[in-house]
Amino acid sequence: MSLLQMEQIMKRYNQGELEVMALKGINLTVEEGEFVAIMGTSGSGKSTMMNILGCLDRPTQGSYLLEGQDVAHFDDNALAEVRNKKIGFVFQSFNLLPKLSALENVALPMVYAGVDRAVRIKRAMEALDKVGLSARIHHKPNELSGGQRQRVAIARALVNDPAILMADEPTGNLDSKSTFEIMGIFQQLNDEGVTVVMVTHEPDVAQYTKRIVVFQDGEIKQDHPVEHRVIFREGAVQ
Amino acid sequence: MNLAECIKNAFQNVFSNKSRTLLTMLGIIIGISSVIIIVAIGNGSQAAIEEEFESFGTGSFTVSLVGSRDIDTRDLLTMEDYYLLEEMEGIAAISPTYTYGSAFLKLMDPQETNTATMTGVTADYQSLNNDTLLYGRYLSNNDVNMKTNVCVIYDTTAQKVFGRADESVIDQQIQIKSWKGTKKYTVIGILQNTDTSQIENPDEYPDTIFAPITSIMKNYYSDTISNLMISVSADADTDDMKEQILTALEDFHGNEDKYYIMDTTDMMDSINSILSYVTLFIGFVAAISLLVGGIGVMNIMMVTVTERTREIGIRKAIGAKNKDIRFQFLVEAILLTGSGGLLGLLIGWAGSYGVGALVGITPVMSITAILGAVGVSMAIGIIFGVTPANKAAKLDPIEALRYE
Ligand SMILES: Nc1ncnc2c1ncn2[C@@H]1O[C@H](COP(=O)(O)OP(=O)(O)OP(=O)(O)O)[C@@H](O)[C@H]1O
Ligand SMILES: [Mg+2]
Repeated sequence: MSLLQMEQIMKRYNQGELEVMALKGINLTVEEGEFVAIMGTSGSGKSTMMNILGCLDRPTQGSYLLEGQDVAHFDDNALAEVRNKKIGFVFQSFNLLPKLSALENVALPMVYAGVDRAVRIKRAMEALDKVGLSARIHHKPNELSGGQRQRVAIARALVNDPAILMADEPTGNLDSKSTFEIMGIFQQLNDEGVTVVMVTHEPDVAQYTKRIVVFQDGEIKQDHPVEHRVIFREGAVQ
Repeated sequence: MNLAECIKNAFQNVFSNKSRTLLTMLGIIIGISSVIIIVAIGNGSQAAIEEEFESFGTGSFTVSLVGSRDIDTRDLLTMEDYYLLEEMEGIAAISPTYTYGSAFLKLMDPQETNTATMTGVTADYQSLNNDTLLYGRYLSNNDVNMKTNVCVIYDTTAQKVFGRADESVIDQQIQIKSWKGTKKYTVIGILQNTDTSQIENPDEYPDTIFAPITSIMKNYYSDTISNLMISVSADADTDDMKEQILTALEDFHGNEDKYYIMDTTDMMDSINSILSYVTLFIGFVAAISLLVGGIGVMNIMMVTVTERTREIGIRKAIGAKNKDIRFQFLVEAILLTGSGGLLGLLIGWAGSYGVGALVGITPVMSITAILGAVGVSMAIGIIFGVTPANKAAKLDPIEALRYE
């Protein structure tokens, strides 16, 4: 059984008279342990795809099996449960809650999972440690740099031990130093067994992954492994 | 999502914008505090009125001569009227009264006196006036017939005259001075004074001394009585009896419309009903203010939901269910109105004593009013918080995340 399997996924947006087919029958399979980059021109349907993959949205048509479950037809409640337990989502704009500290932000998914407070704090600290932020757990998001904020977001995505980590242009708002550090974290997590699917515009960022899927006009145009994969090394000049 | 986390979170959100929160709560604060003040003052005045009337004795009424100029000597009430009515069927208790108020009671310190109200009555007066005997005995019909100089006094009076109010005071004498001479009365019974204001400041009130009416009339030279206090038996019709009594007196004196009846129960009923109308009306005004306050809360909660659309999107993206979001905003609304209610309660409490001091009424705080105020304000939070909370719960996660 594949980790996720999409068949003939379509997404149609109705904007008054105008009808947009954002996805035109996508077939995609991702196995456990993969590290996939989704690329493509602006408006080619990458975000639409990620939202469906991340169970934030439902496809208009097609089937989507996540760990064998047909999540395409789940109701709001069931989808929330899937997002909480099986999916970690990282956004381009971080999407942290500004009034909460790094620790509280990371612990939040566990609040909705009904985890005890003591366990929440322990696991949130571990997750922050994993992304190298143990020293800043009580800082609010606006007291952190962009790269640090994205690490908090990654820690939050990881904290419920999800089956898959999704990231929509996670480095889109970061300078190149932070970008490569974040890619280093993704590689390290992937080495530890976490499946990662991320959207990126930048070819050199995509080189850190293991497989590149290229979208064009709502369809998959290319799907190939990365030939000369770059490995992040601490302190290496990029 | 667990409750503790939700409440903590609501506290953070509600009290992070203090001035807005306070302005939003204002309607609730005004509504609740005015309800508290109205109820406390209303209860206070009702209690004061009831206490006032209780000292008259309830269930009884008095017959008096009207206070107009064209009164003849033949119209005056005398003991003859008492003997006449005493025979009437349907009367449970009857006592004539005659009060002589310009007397002075000698106190413990031989130099000191206090104003005394010499009140002449008969044996029935004890039940008519709801008096409880502590020691000795009450006046008897024999005392009335023999015109003996015996009296019953209140425990507060005994304290002032003898420095004690117990068995040993019985058979002691008291001295009453007036320009009609110094009279000596033997104390045969001690009654319990239940008037709280008199118990608290006994020196500020005249002392009432009950003695056989015949002895008072003899000693203070009166042929007439002040009025007649009457209660009717349980199986008799009160209104009917009042009619009969007036007719009997008019027949006896050969006059018309010279007597009137004052019924404390009737008066208390009408005062209470006026009071409850006033309370109801002001309560209605307060309810409108609560309604307006509730709408204000709903409005602010709507604004809050819009402002926090992105937060809602984030929470949903990481696994918050619709019901978690609904609950979160509902708790915030309840916290908002609940703390408004609590503030209103405190202000109302302080205000009751302020208003009470102004109008001279001791406010009476009732648990029902306090719990009611808190309950109502929380209920307003639920009623007016549901719509904004549902709006928040129904937001689509993607739309919400895209919101700037
Ligand atoms: N909510 C929506 N309503 C209508 N049309 C939409 C909506 N969301 C996306 N679209 C359309 O669907 C198409 C795909 O959009 P999508 O956001 O997936 O592109 P993208 O590949 O992520 O682009 P970018 O690289 O700029 O982020 C676009 O034509 C877009 O206009
Ligand atoms: Mg996009």
